Amino acid sequence: MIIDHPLLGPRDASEFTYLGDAALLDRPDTALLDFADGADGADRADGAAANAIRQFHDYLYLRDNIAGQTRELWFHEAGDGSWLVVTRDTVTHEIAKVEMARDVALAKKHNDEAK
Amino acid sequence: MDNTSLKAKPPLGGYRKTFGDTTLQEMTGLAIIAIATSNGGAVKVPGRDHNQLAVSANDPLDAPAPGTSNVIHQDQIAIRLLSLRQDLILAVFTAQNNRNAIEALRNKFGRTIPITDQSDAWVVLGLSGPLSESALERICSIDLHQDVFANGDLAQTRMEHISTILFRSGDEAFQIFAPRSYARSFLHAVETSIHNVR
Amino acid sequence: MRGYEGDTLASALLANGERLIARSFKTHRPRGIFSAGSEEPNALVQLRRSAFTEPNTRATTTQLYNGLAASSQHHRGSLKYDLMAFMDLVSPLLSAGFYYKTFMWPKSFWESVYEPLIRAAAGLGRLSGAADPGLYDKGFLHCDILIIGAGPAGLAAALAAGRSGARVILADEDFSMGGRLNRDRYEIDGARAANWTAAALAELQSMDHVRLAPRTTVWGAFDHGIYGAVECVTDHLPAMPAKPINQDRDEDHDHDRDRDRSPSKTCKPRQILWRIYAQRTILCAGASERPIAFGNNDRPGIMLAGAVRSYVNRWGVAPGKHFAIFTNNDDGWRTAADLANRGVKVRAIIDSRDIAPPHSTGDAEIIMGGRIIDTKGRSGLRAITLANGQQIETDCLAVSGGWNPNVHLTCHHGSRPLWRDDICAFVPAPPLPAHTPARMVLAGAANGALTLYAALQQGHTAGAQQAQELGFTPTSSTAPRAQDEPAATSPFWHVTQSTKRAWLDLQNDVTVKDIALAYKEGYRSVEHVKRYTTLSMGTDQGKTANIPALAVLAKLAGTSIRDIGTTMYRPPFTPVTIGAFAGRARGTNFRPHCLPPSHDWARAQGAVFTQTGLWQRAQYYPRPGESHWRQTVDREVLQTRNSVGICDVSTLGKIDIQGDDAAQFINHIYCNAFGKLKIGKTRYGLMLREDGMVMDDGTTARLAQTHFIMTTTTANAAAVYRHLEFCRQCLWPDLSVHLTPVTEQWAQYAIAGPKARTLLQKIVDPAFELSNDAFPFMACAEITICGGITARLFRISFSGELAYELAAPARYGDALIRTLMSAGKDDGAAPYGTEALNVMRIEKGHAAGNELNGQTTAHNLGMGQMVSKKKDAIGIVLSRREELCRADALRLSGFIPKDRAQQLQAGAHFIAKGQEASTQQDQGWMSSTAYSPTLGHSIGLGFIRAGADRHGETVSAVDLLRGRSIDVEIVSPHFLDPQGERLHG
Repeated sequence: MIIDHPLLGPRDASEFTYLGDAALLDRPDTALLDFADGADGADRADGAAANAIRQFHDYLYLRDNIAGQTRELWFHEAGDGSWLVVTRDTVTHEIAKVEMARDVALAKKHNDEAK
Repeated sequence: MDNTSLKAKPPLGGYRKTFGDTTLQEMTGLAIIAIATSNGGAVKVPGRDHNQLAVSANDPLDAPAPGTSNVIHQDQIAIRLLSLRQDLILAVFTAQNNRNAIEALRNKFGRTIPITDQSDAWVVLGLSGPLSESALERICSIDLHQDVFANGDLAQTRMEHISTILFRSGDEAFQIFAPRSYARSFLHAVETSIHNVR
Repeated sequence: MRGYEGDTLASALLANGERLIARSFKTHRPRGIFSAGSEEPNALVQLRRSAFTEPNTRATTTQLYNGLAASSQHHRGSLKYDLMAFMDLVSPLLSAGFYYKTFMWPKSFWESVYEPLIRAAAGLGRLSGAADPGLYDKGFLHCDILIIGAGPAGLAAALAAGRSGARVILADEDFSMGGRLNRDRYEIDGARAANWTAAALAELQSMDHVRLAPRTTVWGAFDHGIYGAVECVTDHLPAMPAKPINQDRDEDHDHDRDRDRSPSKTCKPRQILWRIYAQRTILCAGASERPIAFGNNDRPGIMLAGAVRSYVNRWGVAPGKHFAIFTNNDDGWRTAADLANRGVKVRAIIDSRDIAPPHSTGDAEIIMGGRIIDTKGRSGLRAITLANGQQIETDCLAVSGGWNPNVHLTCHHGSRPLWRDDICAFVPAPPLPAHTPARMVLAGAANGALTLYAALQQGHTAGAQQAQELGFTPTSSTAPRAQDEPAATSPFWHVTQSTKRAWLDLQNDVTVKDIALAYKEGYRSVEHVKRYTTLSMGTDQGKTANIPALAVLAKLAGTSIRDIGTTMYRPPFTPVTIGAFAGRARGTNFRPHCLPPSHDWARAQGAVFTQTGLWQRAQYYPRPGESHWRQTVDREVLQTRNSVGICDVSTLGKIDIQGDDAAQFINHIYCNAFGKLKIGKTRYGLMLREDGMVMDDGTTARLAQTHFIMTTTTANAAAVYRHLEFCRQCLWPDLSVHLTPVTEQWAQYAIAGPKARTLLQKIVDPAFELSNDAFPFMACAEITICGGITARLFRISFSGELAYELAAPARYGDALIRTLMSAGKDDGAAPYGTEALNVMRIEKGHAAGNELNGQTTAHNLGMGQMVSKKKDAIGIVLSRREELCRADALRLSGFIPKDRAQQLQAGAHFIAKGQEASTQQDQGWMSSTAYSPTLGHSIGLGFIRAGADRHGETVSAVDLLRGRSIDVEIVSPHFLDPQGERLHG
């Protein structure tokens, strides 16, 4: 397997470490969960903490198992130390796109802020 | 106690060996300084299409593109800048005194830029001569053809499970950086390769 | 026996009149050489002697060398009087599915009787039982165009691509490139094929950008243009002793001896496993001939017709005296013509087709529409019998059932070949489906272009076109000129008039009858029939057997081969030695070793080493008179606790964290509060995974407002860095922070014990004040030592003593340990290893790897209160899940044996006293134990339900593996100095 690094060109998969679905970029925003104000989940009557647990549970554990294109996180461990979002077809193994995860994450942040 | 300076020891004790016209030797007396460049924003690389979503690079070094290098001069020191990634450069130069050299870098790049001395973190093997490329072919998955990996180019890659920086210093010459603690295993890997292609 | 340069073992055996080479696998029938290539099912030999021996080697591909030793392997005793030949008489037992039927029941019979019997009888060669003394290597090659197969198509493709300037690798499994041009008498460009081939190879050889790779089998196609290939480098040279050099060899500091132990120049790897990265691939793997099934068609002397041509034309060997040909196609007639041309007697040509003879050939009897129903000759062919009863005396029957394109590599990604009626063969489906390896095209016989000019044209076109697509400019040269030979064929597979056994798979002894039986028993899918009958499951993977068997099955099913389809081909194309996959990674060269800065010094002290990950760490430092490791460890602990001990802790991961947002970033990483750490201070940090389990722990020091140095455990250094980069790049990409691993930069020594400060004062330059007030517990500073050498000092303690960790640039590591030891000599300083380190951390109740096993929470470790309620950090939210926070959750506790003389064992489980040791009664487990020389008895750390509330209670520590049960008292995990007075001293 070869991953075409956006900056460094094609590199053998042995240089990379796989993490999982790129959905891991979408970590729930704990500021929105009213979490940072010192609230201790167990004591809260309004259930905000329980909601936080559910959101983190879904973020961390729920995955689609797709026969087709998936977006995955790969770490260029033996290379430049960058995290990549690799769009790969699980049926043909073809890689359609490779992006710097940081670019993807920044774009997401900008979009979220724009909303 | 009578304090005298501790004696410095290169990882391989200044190893040098020739195999016919091919030479393998430990490069000593190098300062290797990691310099964090832009704040991690995407760098535009000529010829590569990657979306410019990120914050634009604010790069005081005018750094070479990742995978390439250039040479600058500061305080009478010739400094090779190896661009490792979009926000990290390795400055490599001959220096007896690291502190002076780091000072030179600060003079060049400003006082606030994050720098980390890595001079002791690496063993550097110089490999030169006609067997260099074929020997590396046995342990390095990077395409070493000069049209692809030209003089001055570099790649971080894994050889025999060891994370390395491979730098092409000439037509038949390479410098290979490996983590210091792996020095003997790495030397063994390169020596075996040379033997196997000899 | 004598041979010529360029001979294979098979051609030499035939030249020397040897016909009986082997016995078949199941029935022990006599077998001879069947083919002239890698598809050989019969002539498997045990090659070389003693430790160099290699079983299942094909005589047909083994290049002859001086001193080659080979023995037949499917027999006991002498080959000609085969001890196991009686198996043939009982063969009705060994029908299709015989393994399943005969040996499934009763089970005990399988183990005690049948399996040994089968193994002894079958014996597909033997291993020496000794380590393989051969050397192997691996390597990586890159090219624009990989051309697999150097026959006419491959050579034409290589010429076209090479002339355009593309980087080409031309690989061929044979030691002599040319493919069928080595076998057949052709004319190309008006010259004899052999001359044309030599000129083509010379031209390719002269091109710098073309790599010719003979003896190189491309055996597998992998994702994205990666191919596996094995090059046999020295297999054709006499075996020589070779021993891999050991990467530890230089540790004995004897460089002269090192030189002697370097392998000699002549010891080269016998094989190289190449990983080839190709932009484009042209598969020119040619075609393999297949046999026709008829009664007793397995006798030595019955060969493939093309193979007979090879032996006659390439090696000048006539594999018999009186030949007969049996063919269903035009190509079989070439063999007759070539034999006649050489003046060899051909008695008869039997063509299954009812057509006019395509050739007139000398004085051979021509029988059109003929059928062979039986053969005679116990250890070699003597005569054949035709359906009309006619008998023909012959000692070599050349059989041609048509040609199969070698499509194997196109199938490695799941593509299924399609049937072509006109050539009666499977070819890759055009256009290539998604499951064909990326950017692979085919040319020549592999593509179904079975005739010479078609192959040359296809090769030339493919070479030029692929080069052009990659941006190279092909020269205007045209394809080499040649004639297409007659190649008409017919779908004739099996002489149905035969009543005798007719073999399909010679290696696995599968006959037409076996396929019929499988069909009768309800097997329909080709994949099932294959597995039930073991068809094509031998080392040859049924290269000659598969298609005729499919034809038989199709006929039984009343359908066509097209509809019944083919089984799939998987890597490897031909068998690859396990040694090639291992490469250099054997023995101590299995993986690299990391040596900490004190390594040479520790070796000189006689330290015993242990592997922690890749690190070689000193485990303990025995002194004269210490006969047991425990004596040494006890002394190291007591010396540290009573005076001062020194331990190399350079292996701990160290990550330099800089940037305006560094503090904020670290605050997201550790679950405990970190934002307000003062400059010049160090703090313990607990790192969770997002699921709330503890990932790692360590200390982090703040050297400046925007500069931190984080330490990780030795084992997790790489994982923590990866995690931090994930958090930085993927979760908080807008923070200004930089991470640099600096583990390798620093030599770091723990200096622990009541005399630690005294010792340090001799090292640290006088400008730096070390008193408890000036440099209290958890302080850190950048200092200088030994007259101006930059260093970092941290007052942190894993041992529980007054302790420091001193870091200096790694180049001084060796000198620093020597200086520390000599400076501490008067105070009784002792080095300690990982064992003493472990004893002291258990005495102190610190969790380590055994406790941080990925299944424990901060709550389990008794650090639940540390988890901040005022911030978001990785893992905090999910650590609050109800089940993880139960009052009766497992808690880290200390354990001491009620009978202090007893030794605790890690791995024991806690059961309430008097209860049965069952899973239901399980209350937790002992994770770490040690003998505490400080307390004078065994102590343990472990997890037990609600442990914090149960101090003083007695439970059983049950170890069912070792059959022990010990009464233990639950105590605080802090066995020593719970108030931390020593730390702060």
